[in-house]
Amino acid sequence: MDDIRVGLGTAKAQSETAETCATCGRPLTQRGPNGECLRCLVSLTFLGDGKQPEPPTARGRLTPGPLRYAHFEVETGADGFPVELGAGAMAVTYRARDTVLNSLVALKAIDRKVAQNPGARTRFLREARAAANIRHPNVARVTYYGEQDGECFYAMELVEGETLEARVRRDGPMPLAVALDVIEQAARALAAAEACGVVHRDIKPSNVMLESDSSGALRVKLIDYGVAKVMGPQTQSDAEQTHAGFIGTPAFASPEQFAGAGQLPVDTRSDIYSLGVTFWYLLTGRTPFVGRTMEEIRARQTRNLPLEQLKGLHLPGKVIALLKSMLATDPNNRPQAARELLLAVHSCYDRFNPEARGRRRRAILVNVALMLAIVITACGMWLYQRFRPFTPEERSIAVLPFENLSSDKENAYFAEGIQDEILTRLAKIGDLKVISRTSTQHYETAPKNLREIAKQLGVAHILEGSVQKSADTVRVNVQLIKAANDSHLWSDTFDRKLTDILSVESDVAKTIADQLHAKLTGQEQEVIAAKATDNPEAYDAYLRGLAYTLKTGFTPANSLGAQKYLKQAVQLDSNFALGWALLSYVDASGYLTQSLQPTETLREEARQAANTALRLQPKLGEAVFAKGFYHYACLRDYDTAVDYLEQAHHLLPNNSRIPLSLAYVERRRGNWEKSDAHFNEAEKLDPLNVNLLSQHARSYICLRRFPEALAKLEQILNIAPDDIDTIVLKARIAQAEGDLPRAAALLGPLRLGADYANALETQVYQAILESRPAAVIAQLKQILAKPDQALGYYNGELRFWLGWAQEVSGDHDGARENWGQARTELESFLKEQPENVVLMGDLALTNMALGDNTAATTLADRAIAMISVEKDALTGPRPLDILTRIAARMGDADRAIPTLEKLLSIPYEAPLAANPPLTPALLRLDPMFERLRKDPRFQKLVAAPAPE
Amino acid sequence: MFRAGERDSEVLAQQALSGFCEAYWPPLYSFLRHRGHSSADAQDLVQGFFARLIEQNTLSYADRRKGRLRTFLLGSLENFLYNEYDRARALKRGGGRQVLSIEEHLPEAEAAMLATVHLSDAGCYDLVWASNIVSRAWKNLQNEFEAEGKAEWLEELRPFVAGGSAKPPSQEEAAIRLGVPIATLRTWLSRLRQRFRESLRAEVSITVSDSADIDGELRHLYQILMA
Repeated sequence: MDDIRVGLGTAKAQSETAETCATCGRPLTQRGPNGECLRCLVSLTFLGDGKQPEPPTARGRLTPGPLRYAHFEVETGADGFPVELGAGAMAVTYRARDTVLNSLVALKAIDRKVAQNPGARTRFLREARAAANIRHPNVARVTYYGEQDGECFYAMELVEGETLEARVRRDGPMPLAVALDVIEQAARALAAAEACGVVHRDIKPSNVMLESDSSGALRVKLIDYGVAKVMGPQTQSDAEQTHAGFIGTPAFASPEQFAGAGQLPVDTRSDIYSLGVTFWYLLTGRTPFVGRTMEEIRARQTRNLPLEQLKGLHLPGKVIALLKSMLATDPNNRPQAARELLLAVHSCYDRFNPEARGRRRRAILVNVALMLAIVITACGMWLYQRFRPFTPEERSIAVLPFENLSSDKENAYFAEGIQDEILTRLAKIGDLKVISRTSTQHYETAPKNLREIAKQLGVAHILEGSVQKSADTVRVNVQLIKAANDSHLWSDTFDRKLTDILSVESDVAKTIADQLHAKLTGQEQEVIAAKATDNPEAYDAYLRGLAYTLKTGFTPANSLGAQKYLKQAVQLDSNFALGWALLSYVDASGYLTQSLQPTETLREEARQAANTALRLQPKLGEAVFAKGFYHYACLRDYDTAVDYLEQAHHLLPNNSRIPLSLAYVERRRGNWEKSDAHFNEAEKLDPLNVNLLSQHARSYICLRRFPEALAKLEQILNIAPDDIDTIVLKARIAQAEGDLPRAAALLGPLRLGADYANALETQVYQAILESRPAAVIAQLKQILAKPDQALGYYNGELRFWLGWAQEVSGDHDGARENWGQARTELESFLKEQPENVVLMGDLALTNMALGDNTAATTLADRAIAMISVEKDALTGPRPLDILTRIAARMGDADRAIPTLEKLLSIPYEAPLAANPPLTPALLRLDPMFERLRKDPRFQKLVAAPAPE
Repeated sequence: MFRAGERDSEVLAQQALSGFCEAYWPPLYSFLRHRGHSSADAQDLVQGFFARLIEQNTLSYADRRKGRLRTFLLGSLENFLYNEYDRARALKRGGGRQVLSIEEHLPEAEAAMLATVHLSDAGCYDLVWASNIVSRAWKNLQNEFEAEGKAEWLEELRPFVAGGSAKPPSQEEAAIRLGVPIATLRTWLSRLRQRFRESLRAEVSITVSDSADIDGELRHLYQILMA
C-alpha cells in the first residue's frame, strides 16, 4: 500500500492555503468533500438566523412595520419583521390578527406574478370559494378572501401545532396505530373535499398539521386546500415555468400529475396517491420513490414498490395491501373515492371487526360517562378555583423578557426596566413565588414552549408582555398565562403618558396578585401601589441605570454606566428613594469587586446614598438591603450587615440578591456550610442566574472541592455555553490539579483583551507554569502599548505579570524595566487607595521581583495587619499567600514552609489571578517556589495527595 | 454506550456501531499516521483496536466518569498501542473482522493527515475528528435532500450555507433563478440552516457516550475548526 497519497481532498486545500472562502472570508483550509467550507458550516451551529450578516433593508418586500391586508394585521416578531409560518414558491403564509374579531389567523399572500396572470384571480377566487365551502374538522377553513394592490390573499384558520413532517423529523417514524389514525382523519378530510368538488393536489407531510384537541387527542388538519390548483402550471405563462413550477412536490406527486396538464384527469384519486406516499413516510421516515430529478422519480414510480423498506415493521397484510392500492400507478387500481379509502383504512383496524365494534360501542358508553364525570369535575374545579385560593405551587410566576416594540431599538432599556419593575413589585408579595429576572432573561419574548419553560423554572404561571414607547406615550401589553394548558388568565393593554407609567406597573402587579389569589398584607398593598417618583425624567434615567445593573457581571463598563444614570436620576428627583438605594448598591458592589475604583469617595457615596434612601422610606426593602450590603461590602461589618439583610429578606421575600448576599457574608465569616445553604436558597429563586452559580462554584473551589465546583460550572455552561469566565474557572481547577494539558486545551482557544482581567491573567499564569511565555509576552505588550486608563491600577498589575513572563523567558532586563514601571504605577494608586489589600499584594510582589525584600515584606505585613483570616475567611489568607511567596523567593524556608502548611489546610481565594488556593500540584509547578524545591519539608508538602 | 445499543434491536445497534466506527476511523487513523506509523500499519492497528473495543465491550463502560468519549478513545488507543504494539498481534486481533470498509475513508484520512503536519498528534486527531463529523453531517443532509427529490434545489442554496471558493450569487439573483420571492428564499435558507444544525447534532450524538455531552462536543468542535 502506498504510504502517501497526495493531491486529494484536504491535502489539496493545504497546498492552496492562499485560497479563502468567498462566503466567510476565512482561509479555506478546512474543506468538505465537495469544497464546502467547514468553518461556514460549523458556524451555523452557533449563529442564530438572526445573526446572519444580511442587511435587513434588503429584505425585499418585507419591510419592517406592520403589514396589513384589509383588516388583517400581520404579526411582527422581535426584529420588527412579519412572522412567517411558511413560504412556498408562490406564496408566503403569515401569522396575522383579524383586527375586527381580534383573533389570530394564517394569512396566505400570493405572489404578484401569479396573481397578475390573466384570469388567475378569477380562478383563484373560484377555488378559494370552493375551499371555503369545505367545512370539516379535519380541514383548516378558509375564512376570508381579498385582493389588495394587485396581490391576492386569503385568511385561513390558524392551526397551532406542528406538521407531520416536523413530527417525523423530530420523533422518527410513527407507530402504526398513530399513523393509521392520521390517515383515517386525512381520508375524512378528502371525503369532505370531494363532496365539494375540490382536489388538494399537494398532499404531503408538510401540508398536514397535527394538533391536540382539548382532550389531548390527536387532531389532523389539512391546510392549503384549493391553492395548488390555482398556482399550478396551467395558470402560468410559459415563461414562468420554474424549478418549482410543478404543482405539488415531486416525491409526493401522483403519476398523473407528472403526466402534465390535460393528459390525465387529476382528481381525488391523485390525492389518495399522495396520501399513500405520506402514509409510507409516516411509517418509514422516507418516501418510497427517490431520485435526483423529477424524471428519475417518475421512472421509479412505475416500477415495483420498494416493499423491503417496510420489512422489520411487521405490518399486517391489510396495511400493506392498503399501501399498495393507494400507491397504484394506474388511478383505476386505487380506491376510487375518499369514502372507499376510508373503508379500506377501517378494515385495517382490529377495532372495526364486528366483535371489536361491539367492544368499541361499549367503550364509547364508558367514555361518555367518563366525559360527563370530567365535565362535572371540571365545573367543580372551576368553581373551586373561583372561590378558593390557589395552592402555593400555583401561586408562582415567572416574568419573561418583555418585547420592545418601539421603533427605536435604543428603547430596549425601557422594556427591560418595565419588566423588572413589575417583577420587583410582585417579588414583594410574600404569598407569591416569583422567579428572579436573571433566571428569566435567557428566554426569548413570547416563546412557544411555555410549558417546558414553566417546568424548568418551577412555576405555574408565566407573564409575557410588550412595551412600545414613542415620544412621551407608552403602550404596555401584558398577558398572564397558565402554563399547564397555555390558557390566558388575563391580558390587558395600557396606553399611558410617560408620566403615568408607574401606575401601570402597580396595576399590573395588583391584578396578577388578584388573579393568582395571593393574599396581600396591608403593607404589601401599600408597597405595590407606591410610586417611586413623580418625575418621569428621573424615572427614565433610573430605568437606564437599572438596565446596566441587570447585565451579567460587574464589569467596569456596566458599573460606570449604572452609576452615571442613577446619579442623574437622584439629581432630577432628590426624594427618589429607590434611585438612591440602587445607586448605593451599585457603588458598594463596585467598591467590593473593584469594578469601580475603590476610593474613599466611592465608599462615602455608597454610605450616603443608602442612608438617604432609608431616611426617605424607612420600610423600603431595597433601602434596607442597600444599607446591609454597604456594611458588608464597604465596611466588612458582617454582624450589622446580617441584621439589615435579614430585615430586607422579610420585606423582599423573593429577591435572590438577599440570600446571595447572606451567602457572601457567611462565607467571609468562615461559615462555609451556612453560606452553602444560602446559596442553595438563592438558587431556588434564581435557578439560571449565572453569576450566582459561578459564586457558588467559587466557594467549592476555595474549599478545594473541585468535582462539585466542576458540576456547578457545567450547569453554567448549559445556560451560557461560551461563558469565558466559566471556561477559565475550569482551567484554573485543572491548573490546581496539576493537569496543565487540560488547562491549555481550555485556555488555548480564548482570545482575550485586557477587559477580561482574571481570564487573561490565568492565561499568562498558564504560560508561566508551562515555561513557554513567548506568546503571552507579545500579547501583554500589545495590550499595554495602549493601556485603558479606566482600568486603573490593573494596568500596573498586568505589567507585573509581563515582567514575570519575561523573566521566565530569560529576558531579565525587560523584566526589570516592566517591574520598575509597575512599581511606579502601583505606588501612585496605593496613595489614593491606602486600604486596598489587593493593590498592596501586587506591590509587594513587584518589590520582591525587583529584589527589594524589605519593602516587599513590609507591604505584606501591612496587608496582614489589615485583614486577617478571622476577619475574612475568603480573602483574608491572601496576604499570607503573598508573604509565603516572598519568603520562598528569598529562600527563607523557615518562614515560608509553616505558612504554606497553614495555607494548604484552609479554604481561601488566592491572590494571583483570583486562582484556586494553593495545592500540592501548584507548589510543584509554580516557579516562585523554585528555591524551596530541595527542602525535605517542602517535598513532603508537595507529595501530599491531590485534594479529592 | 451506543445509545441505540441500549434498545433491543440488533439492527439499530449495528447501525450505531458502524456510524461510530465511521466517525472515529479517520481521526484514529490520522493520529497513528501522524505518530509515524506506516499507512498499512495504521490501518491494521485501527481495525485491531476497533475489534478489541467490540470484543471487550469496552465502550459500554466508557461512561461519564471517564470523561468525553473522544478523549477516552484516544487514551484507549494509546493503551492499546502500548500493549499491542506488535502489528502482527493487532492483525490477529482484527483478523477477518472488517469493522468497516475503509476504502472510501482512506484517501481523505491520508490527505487530512498531511494537512495537519503543523499540529500535535492529539491536535491532528481532534481536527480530523471535527472536520470528518461536519463533512458527514453535510453529506447526510445532501442524501436526505436527494431522497426528497430536492438535490437540485439544495445545489442552488449550497453556496449560501456551505461557503466555498466560488463567489456565491446574491440572494436576489438566486431568488430570481429559483423563481421565488426573496422572502421565500430566506425562509428556505433559514430552514436549511436549521436542518443542518439538526444533522450536525445527530452526527455528534453518534460519537458521544452520554447525550449530555453533545453540546460540549459541539462547542469543542467549533473551537477546533475555528482555531
